[in-house]
Amino acid sequence: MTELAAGFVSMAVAVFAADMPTIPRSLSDQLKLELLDTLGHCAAASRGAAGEQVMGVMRERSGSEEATVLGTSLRLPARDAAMASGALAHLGGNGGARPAAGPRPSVVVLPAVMATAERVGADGHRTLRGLAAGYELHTRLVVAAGAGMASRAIDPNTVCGAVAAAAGAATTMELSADEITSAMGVAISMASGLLYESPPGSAASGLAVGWAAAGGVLAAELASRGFRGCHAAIEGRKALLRAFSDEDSSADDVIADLGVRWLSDATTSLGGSRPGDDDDESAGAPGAGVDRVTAATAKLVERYYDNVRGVVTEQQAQQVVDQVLTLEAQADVGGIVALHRDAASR
Amino acid sequence: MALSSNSPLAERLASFAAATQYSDLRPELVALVKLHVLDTLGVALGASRTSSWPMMLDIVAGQGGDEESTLFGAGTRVPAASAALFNGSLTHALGFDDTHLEALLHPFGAILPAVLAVAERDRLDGSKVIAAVAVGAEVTCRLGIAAGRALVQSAFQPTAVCGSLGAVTAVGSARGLDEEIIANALGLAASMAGGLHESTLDGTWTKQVHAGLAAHVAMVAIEFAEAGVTASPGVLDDVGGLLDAYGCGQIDADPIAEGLGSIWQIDDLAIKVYPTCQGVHSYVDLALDLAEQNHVPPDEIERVLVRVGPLAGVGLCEPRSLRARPQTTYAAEFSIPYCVASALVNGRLEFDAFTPASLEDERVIALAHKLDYVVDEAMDEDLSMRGWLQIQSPAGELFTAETDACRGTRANPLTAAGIRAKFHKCVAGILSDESEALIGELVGQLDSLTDITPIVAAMVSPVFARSGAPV
Repeated sequence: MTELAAGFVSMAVAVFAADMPTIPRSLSDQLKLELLDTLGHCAAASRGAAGEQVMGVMRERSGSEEATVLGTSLRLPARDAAMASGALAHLGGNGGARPAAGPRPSVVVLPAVMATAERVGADGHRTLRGLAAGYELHTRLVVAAGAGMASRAIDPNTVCGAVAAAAGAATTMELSADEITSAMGVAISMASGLLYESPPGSAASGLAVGWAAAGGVLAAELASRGFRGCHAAIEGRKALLRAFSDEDSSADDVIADLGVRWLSDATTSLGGSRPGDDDDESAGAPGAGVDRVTAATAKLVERYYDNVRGVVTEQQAQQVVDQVLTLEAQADVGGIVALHRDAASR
Repeated sequence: MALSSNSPLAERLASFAAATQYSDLRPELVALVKLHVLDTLGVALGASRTSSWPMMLDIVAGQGGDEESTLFGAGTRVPAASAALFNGSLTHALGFDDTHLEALLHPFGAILPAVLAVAERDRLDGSKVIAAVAVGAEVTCRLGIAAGRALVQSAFQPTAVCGSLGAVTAVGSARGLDEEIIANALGLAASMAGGLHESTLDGTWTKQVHAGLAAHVAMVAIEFAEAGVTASPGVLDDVGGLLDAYGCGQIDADPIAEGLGSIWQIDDLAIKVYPTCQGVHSYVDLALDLAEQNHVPPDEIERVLVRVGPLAGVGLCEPRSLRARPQTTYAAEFSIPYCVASALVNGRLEFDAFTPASLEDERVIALAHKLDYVVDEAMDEDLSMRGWLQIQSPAGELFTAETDACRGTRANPLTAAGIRAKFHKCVAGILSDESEALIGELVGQLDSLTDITPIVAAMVSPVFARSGAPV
């Protein structure tokens, strides 16, 4: 399969994540909108039947209140928060329907990174680096191997997502390249998920997504303590691509032009709406404090308002929008989630 | 649910789990389960010899939460799902846990931690624990017999994948759940079960936590199934289901379900005698026998010859130079030359043969370099772990030993006393003599205990408390 020495591909990914190059403006804009959109989806899903089931179980969990379940007032250990947020994001985003074939980092990587960021008190800049690392790896893995996985009825989104979530969480923790490699090398044993149809209305597919997000958080936590995960997580003979995909998947593709070309900068789950592309249409959207708001942004902001209507006041929602859209300037992303939390708990 | 031979595998396994009671188990099976419980607790405590446990302890204990279930060794009480994760990360960390040779897996490592965590939280009696463990081990082994070989070929570890599902049935049994909930939990677990074999190639630690992850999968799956989350019944064995997706093709559910409740795979479990790869064991048996007979002083042995099968044995002798001088303690566990030489030189093969200092013992390394092998297909003929070993004196005398089944396998089983002796070796220096004796006594009476808490409460060690974790 791979022409390169075992370990090279995974190490290249880890070095990319640890030394994160400058994130293109268009991508960081998109990541912020993904966060806003996911907060709204989670808030909406937590009030739906399947989401209620998930929240009912998660409310019985106990432990340090490290992170917030996105879009809700529930605080849990980071791993549990990521599990719940991932499940809600999935159930809210597409109603728990059969997962789409493309990468959906917003339901796996984003919950893992946000739970980790809140636990460690990361600022907006650091959080964006974690999101960018996880999104880029998730996208590249799915592009390289998603079709091969899907042909075996394996869900590329959760399988690739677990490893990408580990890389994203580890980057958010500012781990070294060696530690990020280890995080991915543990996460391959937490990777799972099938495309097999769930019963209508079941939260089952959400659980699989949440499990991948939680696995990423745990893998990064282990790696940060010195746990030695596999070196060749992606390309090894008994590692991610060989186990879950087919012989045609090339590990080399995963790192082609890595750090030069951003595959995530167009293919995220917002469906190609790229705020930076049409800067002229900026009139009339909510989100005071943001200089330029495009029509695409306005549409997503409107969707956020729709999703949180009745849970938070318009003024509170606007605060969340303002802070998320200026994420890189925020000193503590926990504050954003907390703002949503405080609002939601009223 | 009315079951037929067309019923999905998940429903058939769930039905077995829901129906099986302690009273259905014959006394010999109960006695065997108790010995395996003791063995598993011992190897879990022995995992204080690994570097990874303080890391998992720090995470799990640091998260705190309701004080439901005890962390082995540390004594801290945490939510049951967290205890299952941590304790399961101990049972398989040394690779010294029990083996089903045909299923290619270690069944108790995931099951026992999950069941004990639930039993402690729910205040279950010992007979429920025995029934739950027996159910879980049975399901794990049967899935392994059907799918283990294909899973291994596809890079998955059967212990992790089959163990997740077996642990679901074990926890379902312990909780007294009905078959529909257990079937749903099996379906949910199908999308969370995983575990790859990459770390056996590069010697890293990922596999050490596989049984813990499997136990955790089971706890989460049961938790959500009890809350009413449903899953598709066909997701284990249908086209596009778990086993198909993981490279096993279409699995015939009939042989997996056939004879459930009357034929028990626990009868076939092997208990590891040495903390090494199972494929090394028969050669170590023979080396120890020859060492005891003392024909040739170890330093004067001219040559050691073994006959090995092409399936596993050759790989435990090659590459020659690395097997004769292993670079890591983990690699040493997979070396016939090193393990045989160490057994011949020291007259024993215990944990202390796998320390960095032992790898530098030039007497052992020199003898390891004198080992040659010949390939003999007959060594692979059945699953009982055959062996053939010969030593040559300087005068050219040859001393040969052979076995049809290594110690600890069904054909050459360890006695109860042998299992207690292994327990002692595992916990020496970790538990006090009083705690060791108490655990042995309580596990021996497990079926009559109304509360299993005293067992886990006795599993507290100063070694585990030294981690610096908030215990």
